[in-house]
Amino acid sequence: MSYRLAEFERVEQLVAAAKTLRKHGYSRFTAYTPFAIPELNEILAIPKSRAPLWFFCAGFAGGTTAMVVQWWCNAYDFPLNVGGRPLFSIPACIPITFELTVLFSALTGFFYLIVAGGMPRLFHPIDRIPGIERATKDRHVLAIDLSDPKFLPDECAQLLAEHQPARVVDGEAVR
Amino acid sequence: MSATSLPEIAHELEDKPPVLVGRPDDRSLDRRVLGALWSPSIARWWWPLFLFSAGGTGLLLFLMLYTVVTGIGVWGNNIPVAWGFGITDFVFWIGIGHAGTFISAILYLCAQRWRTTINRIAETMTLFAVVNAGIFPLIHLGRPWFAYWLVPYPATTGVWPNFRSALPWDAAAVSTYLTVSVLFWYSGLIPDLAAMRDFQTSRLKARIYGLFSLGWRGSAEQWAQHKTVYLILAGLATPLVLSVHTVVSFDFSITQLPGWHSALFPPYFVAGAIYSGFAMVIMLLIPIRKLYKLEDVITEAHLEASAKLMLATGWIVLYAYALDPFIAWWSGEPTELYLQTFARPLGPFAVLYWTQIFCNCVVPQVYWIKRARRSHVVLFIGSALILFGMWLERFVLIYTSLARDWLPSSWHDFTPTWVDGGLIFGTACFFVFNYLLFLRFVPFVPLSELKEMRHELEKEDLEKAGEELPYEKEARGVVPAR
Repeated sequence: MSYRLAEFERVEQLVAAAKTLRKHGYSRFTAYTPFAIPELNEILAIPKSRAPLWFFCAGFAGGTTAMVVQWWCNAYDFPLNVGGRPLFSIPACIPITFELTVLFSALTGFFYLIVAGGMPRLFHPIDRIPGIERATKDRHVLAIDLSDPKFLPDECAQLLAEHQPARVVDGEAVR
Repeated sequence: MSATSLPEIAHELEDKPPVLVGRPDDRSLDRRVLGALWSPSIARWWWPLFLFSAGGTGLLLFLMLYTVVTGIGVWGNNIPVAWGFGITDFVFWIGIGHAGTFISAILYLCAQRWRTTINRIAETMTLFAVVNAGIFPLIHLGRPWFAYWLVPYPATTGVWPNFRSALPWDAAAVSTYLTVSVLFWYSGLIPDLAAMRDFQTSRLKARIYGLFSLGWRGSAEQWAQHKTVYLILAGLATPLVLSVHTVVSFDFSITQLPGWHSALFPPYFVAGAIYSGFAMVIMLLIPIRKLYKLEDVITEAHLEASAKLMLATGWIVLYAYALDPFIAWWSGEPTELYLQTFARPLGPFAVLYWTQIFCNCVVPQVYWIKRARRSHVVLFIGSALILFGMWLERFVLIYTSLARDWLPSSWHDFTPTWVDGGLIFGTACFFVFNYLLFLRFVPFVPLSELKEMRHELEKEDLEKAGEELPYEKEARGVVPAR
């Protein structure tokens, strides 16, 4: 796969360039930036994260597990009579139930982030194209897939030039 | 710029220090923050401190071994004072951790800008403080190799842990707190580790940082996921941090000892925890910003805000102290009344008690004065006193209640041994040891968040000045609005 990388000094340039490309019907391009730029989500039509659902389901599973384990251990499998107190009472089970809800939820959410973000990854094909390494530091990089049906090398160069990129380079992303 | 409009005049009158001095660009931030880690100039102070704290860590390991091999009798603990220094140190260290989560999670949800720069310094403090805290309950078991009994596993005896006891609650709360803090810390760190990877000139270092950054590239898709997950993790960490010291306070309040059996404990413990944690944050920020010459990134605003929060939580603690004798009187319980109104303030524990009151209630009042909040010497010494006072508070709470219970014939005093003292000193060294390693290898200022904040500040600057961004001006007309 080949990409055209356009490096910009400023966020506003990148956002404007992305808008221009989108307006001209480009669909296969993305941005690599040193920090989050929320405006891009709409321009690049990034689907909403499914993280909240995973967090919720895992939390629910954690809480249920904790409640069931506490009831099963102390009230059912081996009824533990401590000074005649009830074998199962919800208030006494709340601390562990709460902690396990948070634990399951946070662990799942974290691993969701790793998997949904395409990690862990030792090498990404795009790393082959020089200049991409600045995207984590001081450049905002737009990467246009050259197989985009709307891609025409000269027109694209013109569209990008309107936004004064610091550098434009074509490269092949290979394994 | 001279003030012309009312809000501007108000702003100048407030005399607020900025959260970022100047608007350094990405490259200079990279150089200063990432370059600081491997810079040879820090070796001058880093190595002596590191070797000293490594020695103290060695002492800690030796004392742990000595305690386990010989038995808990090497501590000053006795019956009735069965908890002594061990649980005091546990509550102290876990309390320190709370300010870290307060800064990184609660202030994140509140969109407090000043938390951005210092959140990793504070959060790392949390991790190492919780690690220290975990040591004490483990070794005070006496037979730490049976610690797994707290986990419900199918034992051949068929017996399960008693989940209505505070000990399994503690185990669940502290281990969850440590795990979630690590996850939250690490997910914030991934983009900065990637920046560190791309910043390295040495191939080996780049590979090691690359491994830990899990292959983060910073694509818009990754950022969208990251933002969502980070926000929810902050939302989870917020009630979690409040729950941890609440559960710790249950260790005391669900018992029936005079001075312990109180419904006030959960909020009182949480406020005290954040209070002592902020003292520790200040004691870390002052040397770090000085030694790394980061005065324009970690500014007066951060120190002043921390001091103000210390003052606020200090007043909650003061309120709890004042309420203690009142509730004792209200209960009409003679032993409770004796402990709270005589034994602690006037009796055998008066010196401990009034030192605690001085450190925790009198000292912070100096931070009403702006000059005191801005003086690093006053901030540092005040924080050290508060930290000591908060340790003393837990000691007074644990020791005096155990030493003066319902039955006067079982009253007994407590004298710490050198092992008790060595353990708290050892954990302090272990904390410094871990922290120095962190400062050496891990980007301790959250770079991507800092750049994002800088970008927002720039936008606001221009909006205030009524100007457009330089680029937008040029691009206007060329790029019609969408």
